[in-house]
Amino acid sequence: MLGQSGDGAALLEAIFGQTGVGLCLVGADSRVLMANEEWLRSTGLTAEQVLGIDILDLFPGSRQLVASVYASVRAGKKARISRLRHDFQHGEGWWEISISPVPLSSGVGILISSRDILPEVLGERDRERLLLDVEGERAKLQTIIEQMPVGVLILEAPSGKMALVNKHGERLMGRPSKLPESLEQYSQFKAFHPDGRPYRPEEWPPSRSILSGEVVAEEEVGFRRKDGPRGTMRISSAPIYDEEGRIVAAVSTFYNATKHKRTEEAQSFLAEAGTLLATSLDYQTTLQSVARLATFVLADWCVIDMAEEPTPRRVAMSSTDSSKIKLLGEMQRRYPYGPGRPHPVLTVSRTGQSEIYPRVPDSLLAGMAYDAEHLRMLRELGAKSVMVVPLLARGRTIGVITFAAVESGRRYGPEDLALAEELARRAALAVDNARLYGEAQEAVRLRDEFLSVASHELKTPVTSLRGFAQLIVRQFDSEGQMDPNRVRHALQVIDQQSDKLSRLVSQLLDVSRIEAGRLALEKKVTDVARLVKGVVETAQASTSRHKITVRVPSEVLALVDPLRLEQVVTNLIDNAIKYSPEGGPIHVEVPAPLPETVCLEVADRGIGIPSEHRQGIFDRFYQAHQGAYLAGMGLGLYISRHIVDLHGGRIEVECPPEGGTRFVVCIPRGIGGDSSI
Amino acid sequence: MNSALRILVVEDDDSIRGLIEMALSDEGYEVMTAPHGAAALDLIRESEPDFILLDMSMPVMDGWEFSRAYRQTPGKHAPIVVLTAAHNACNPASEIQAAGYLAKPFTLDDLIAVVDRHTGKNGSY
Repeated sequence: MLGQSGDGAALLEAIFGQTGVGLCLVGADSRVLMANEEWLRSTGLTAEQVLGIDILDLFPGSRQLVASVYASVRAGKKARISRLRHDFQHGEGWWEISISPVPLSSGVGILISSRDILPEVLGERDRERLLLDVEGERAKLQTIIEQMPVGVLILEAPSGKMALVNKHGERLMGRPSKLPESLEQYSQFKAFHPDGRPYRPEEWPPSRSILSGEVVAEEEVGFRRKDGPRGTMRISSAPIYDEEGRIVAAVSTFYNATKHKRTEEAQSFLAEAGTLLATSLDYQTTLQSVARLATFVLADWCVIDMAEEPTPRRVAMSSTDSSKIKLLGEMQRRYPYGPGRPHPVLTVSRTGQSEIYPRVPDSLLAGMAYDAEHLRMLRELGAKSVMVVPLLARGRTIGVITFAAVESGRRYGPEDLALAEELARRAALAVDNARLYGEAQEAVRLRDEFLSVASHELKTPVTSLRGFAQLIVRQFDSEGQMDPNRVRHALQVIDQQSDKLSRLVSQLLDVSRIEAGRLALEKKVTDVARLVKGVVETAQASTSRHKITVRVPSEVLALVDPLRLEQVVTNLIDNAIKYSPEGGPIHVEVPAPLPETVCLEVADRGIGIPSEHRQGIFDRFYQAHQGAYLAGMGLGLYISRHIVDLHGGRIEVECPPEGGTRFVVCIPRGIGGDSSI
Repeated sequence: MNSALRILVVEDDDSIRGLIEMALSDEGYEVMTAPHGAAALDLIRESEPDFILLDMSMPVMDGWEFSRAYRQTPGKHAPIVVLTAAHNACNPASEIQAAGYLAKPFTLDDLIAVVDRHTGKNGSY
């Protein structure tokens, strides 16, 4: 205890002076006995202002508080004010105040100590602000992660425990009931490599980031969810390192790229199709390639039919399953498209509108089937979803593509249909171009052939004309006279051959007129029966090997161009003679006329017309027997058809089962029906 | 004038066949005629010609078929000259390996010169 001794006072002075803590000694009479600099600093007062002054007077603002504290301390208790704020002109100050009773010779004094805690208070305050900042940032990050349009997940290393996944990620993962706690548990997610091999847990991109620090960018992963169809996910992943460079976590983002993938595939599919379509002008080969390509991208099997009369013609088939191709081919052979049964291909080729069956009900197959076996085959084809799309070119349906989904389990929707239609549009354009090119080439070929045939045909009579003229001249030159019989014969030949030549030239002129649209008719009321009889008589005179019979009514009046009609009848009878090289009967008949129409038939028992040529015989330069000796110029029927067309009539060819050829011409009479007798 | 040189004319056009027959007969050749290849083969079986004038485009059996069949017959083969109105007269001639060709329309002078040359008549060849 401190006494009044000089030593004690000196010690007290030393302690007051040396300590870093503020100290103030208050006597029993409440007056300040001693105060060190530090204490003065904490009060902002000077020594003169405090020494000998009543402590209660020093802090008039808190006199009552101070009085009660001192009273309790004098009673023997210690008091502590852990934080006392004192505002100075230069700023705030924070102090921890301890107040203890001190026994003095004059009674119980008080020792006040003050510790400057401003740095601590400021530090605390910084820390709090920092904590608030961190909390704010975390919340912001959380919001960003939640709002991101991709799945985000964070995996702890090395366990692989899924520490965080945002809502989008949960949805993409098919809302797993339990988040994985370890890498092994990632096997619950079914994912596939492009080659179809399943992902092992350690192959997942975030797993690789954790295990080897790999940074993965946009890896395409095929997925299949229990509640939905298959698709493509793009997954990115990167490791997170601590200050020592250890991997502590991996962050991974992922999104459903099925649509992107489809669009990309569609674009590359169309590009590839475009290349294929441009490579060949042989459209059948091209369409087969398109069907094959479609089979990879859009369908499990695909067939293409060209719209032809009477029924569509199959030109391409492709399937992921080769047995289906066999089946498709067999069905086509055994059950060709027919008017008897409705079929989407027939509907689409008629309407030019696509048809889509997201699901193919069995009733549809049953409706298409001709019989039980057909139905069995249709079921075996297994089309679960079907699109039937027209090939449209210049407003016409030129063909139909059928896409079918089988084992892939895909259901066609509007996007698939759009892609299919775009493919069909491009294919149709290519086919149309190829056809036009083919037709142009064919036209050039026909013209070349025509020129060659025409020159051949013209040279034959010219050879005779010149030859017989020269023959007479030679005889005259060598013998000085001419044999009258020989001259007569030569002149006869010259006459016949000139006539032949002039007829060939007329035909060529007629063709020119037809091509220029300048073949005109001079119609007058004509007795068709007499006209026909006249032609037959002339024709019979030119041949002894053919017996031409004729049956006509006594008179059939019609408003026609008699010279042109005669040309038609002559041509038909000439053809009948020409195409009956072994001779034989030729029958010409004008049946009893209808009031509005008169018909004419010319039938021979000659070599007939091969069925594949019947369509073309009325075309220019067309010859059903190309290359054979009968090759005339091939203009006769072309001209005849045009003459009949100009009369508003029609010309048809039939090949009766008993052989030969039968031409039938029917033209409107153009006058009242009562003119017939 | 040599006699008995026998010429076979195979031509489907009646008037050209008649013309050649008259022209070559006047020159002292013995002329046989046939309207197509099959008839020509029948004639050859009876008497062998020294020279053949052959049209190509004919009914029943054309010039190509005839020349093939003729070359397969036993014995020696007469030279063939092709008569043709084709645009490239030398094509059918080379196709059947003929000795020559005569393009229609031809002059009688050309016809007689070709026949004389190939038969060695008048020793001029």
